[in-house]
Amino acid sequence: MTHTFPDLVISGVLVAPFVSYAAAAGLLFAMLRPLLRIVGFERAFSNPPLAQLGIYVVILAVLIVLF
Amino acid sequence: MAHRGRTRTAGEDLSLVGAAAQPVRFAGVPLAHWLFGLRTWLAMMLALYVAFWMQLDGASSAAVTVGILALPTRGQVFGKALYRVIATVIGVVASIVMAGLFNEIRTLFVVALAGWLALCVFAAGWLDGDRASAAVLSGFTVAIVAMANIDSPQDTFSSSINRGAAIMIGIVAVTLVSDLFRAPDLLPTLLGKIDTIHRDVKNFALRTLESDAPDPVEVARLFGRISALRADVVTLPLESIAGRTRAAAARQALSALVGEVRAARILASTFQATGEDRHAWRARIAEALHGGGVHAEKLLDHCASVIHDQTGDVARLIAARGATALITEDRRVVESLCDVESGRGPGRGPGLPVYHSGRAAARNALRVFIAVLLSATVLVLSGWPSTTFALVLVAALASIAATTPNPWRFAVGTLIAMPVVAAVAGVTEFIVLDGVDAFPLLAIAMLVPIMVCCLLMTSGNPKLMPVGTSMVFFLPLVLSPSNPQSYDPQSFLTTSVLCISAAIILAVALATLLPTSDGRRRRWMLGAVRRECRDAVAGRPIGRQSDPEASFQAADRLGQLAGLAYRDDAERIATLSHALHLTELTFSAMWVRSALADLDPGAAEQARSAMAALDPLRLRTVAGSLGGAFPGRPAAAQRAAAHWAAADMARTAALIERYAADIGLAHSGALP
Repeated sequence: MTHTFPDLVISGVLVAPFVSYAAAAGLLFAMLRPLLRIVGFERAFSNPPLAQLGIYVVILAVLIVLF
Repeated sequence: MAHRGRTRTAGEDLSLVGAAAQPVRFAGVPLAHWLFGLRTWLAMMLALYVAFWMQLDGASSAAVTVGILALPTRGQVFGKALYRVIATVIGVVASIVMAGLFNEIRTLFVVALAGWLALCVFAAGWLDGDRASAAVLSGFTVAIVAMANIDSPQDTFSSSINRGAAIMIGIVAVTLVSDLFRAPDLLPTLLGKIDTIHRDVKNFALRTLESDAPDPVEVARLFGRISALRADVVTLPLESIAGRTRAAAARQALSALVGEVRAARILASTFQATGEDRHAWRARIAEALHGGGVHAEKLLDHCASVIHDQTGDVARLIAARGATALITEDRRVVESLCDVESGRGPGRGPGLPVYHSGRAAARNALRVFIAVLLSATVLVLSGWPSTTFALVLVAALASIAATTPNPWRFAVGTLIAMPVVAAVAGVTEFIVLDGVDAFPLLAIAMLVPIMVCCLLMTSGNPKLMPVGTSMVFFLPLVLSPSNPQSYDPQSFLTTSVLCISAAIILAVALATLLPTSDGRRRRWMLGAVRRECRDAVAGRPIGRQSDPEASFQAADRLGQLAGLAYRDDAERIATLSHALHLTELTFSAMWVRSALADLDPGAAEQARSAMAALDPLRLRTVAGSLGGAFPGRPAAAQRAAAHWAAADMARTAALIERYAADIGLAHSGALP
């Protein structure tokens, strides 16, 4: 069965599904940041920005697969 | 005094963190600058490729966005990108509203556009850094989206969506490339700068303790250097996960640096007033400032014992308090720097408000309003086709110029950059590319121009840097890469002529329409200093800021005063000295007023009436009778509190005596 993407419509304006997923992933990542700071996430990587990007991509992929 | 996780002492040099090991160079240019150029080129090509793939109209906006966000460090890029998104959303909404309201009445549309731009420039006058840029972007987004579709208002919505999409693609491209290719962080540079200023502040403190008349220009320039770091501090939260904590610690450090400069001046004036032996104190303070750690603890213990010694000399007691304040502020700087470096700390710090002149903001707004209206009139009367493009550019450039420290220099930079960009774009399009339509060839053709622009931006030459900054986003605007690429020479020539015309109109407008001279700015700032001083002496509140915030804002204002042009050095010294002393009187009066809250009511009322009457003699009399006037405290604490209050009142009395005439106050009379 084909995976259907939910449409987000704001006042008659259709928002592309990928944009919705990207925005939701950004929001989730922002909520995760304080936790990452507490566990010292940045100290575990030689390139912390790339590691953060990786986490964002993982969150985005999970949202796309699950919803 | 224990410190959380401190890893270095006050005397330890941060140069290993801050920087400069000798940079690797290639062809005389640091490798970091070459890498910056390559990253910018790569981000621009990525943005263009994605925009072409998505078949966006105005795909060149994605490249222009990358050009605007081309900054050497990640924190600066992310800060500007975030505010650009917010500003674009606001601008797009305003465009749709304006197009809906005024699309049938063109004259009113142009007036409304000029009014909206003026409003955005006025708002930008009360903001700084990326937020000010975002405010003007909201303004000229309306010009780009609504004005450009004035003949077809039904296309406004799709045009705004295309522009928003192109901007988002540009932002994603530049942030992705910055992360993948490890663009340098702002943090090490910022740490190095704060450490350098800290060293200079310590040296200034020791020189001030030796001298009876410290140089006001040096003080104002130090304040200017400290407040200039604020723009970097506000971008720290976006740079890393611990960024918010680091930013709070950095704000603490900057606030403490301002406090250290003030404490040094107060201590020096204390030595002058009391005749206490400054040399002995200076030697101990030098040991504490440069040695840090144990030496600072030793001095603080010594000061504490002097303060608690009930039989001690009053002058020594007051000097001990001043020395304690100085060393405490110095230690606050050191601890804050450690917190910035480690990313740990309380996570809250003082705000760092900067001084904004409402009159300058209003004047800039009015200038933009008139410039846009006049330009529109001239362009409409000219009857040339496609002049909306020129008007949009004039609106954008006039708004951006209003946020720069020196609008005239920006206009001159644009005037130089625009013909150069037109020439470079022409060579690239008609000689290098010459009709090809393959994207890889477009990317290769744009490599050299973009690298040159980026190298100019990072050259360090104050004349070349603004030219490079302008060129890097004008180039994709004039070249206007599209899919398929148009190689129409007439269209290119029209675009180039309109761009150069817009730059000329901007320069003429800035030179003739309500120019704000440095002399005028100086008068406004001094007027603000005098008003604050009158309010402080009269006991009226000055804003709702805390003491550290008010202190930082006053320091920023002095720094801005130091940056203005003067007829000669004598005028500079006189103006800065005047402003500095009035600022000191303001804070001295504020501290006296806050001490009155703990005083015995009778003594407090006498002090208040002496301050309101601006009678230095009565103030000194009250100061001399303060022993035992702090009920509810132990005897030793009473003595100390009495002497602090007396010292503050004596200093205030001396400043009133000397400077009351300058702020329009009369001795022993009611306040106007």
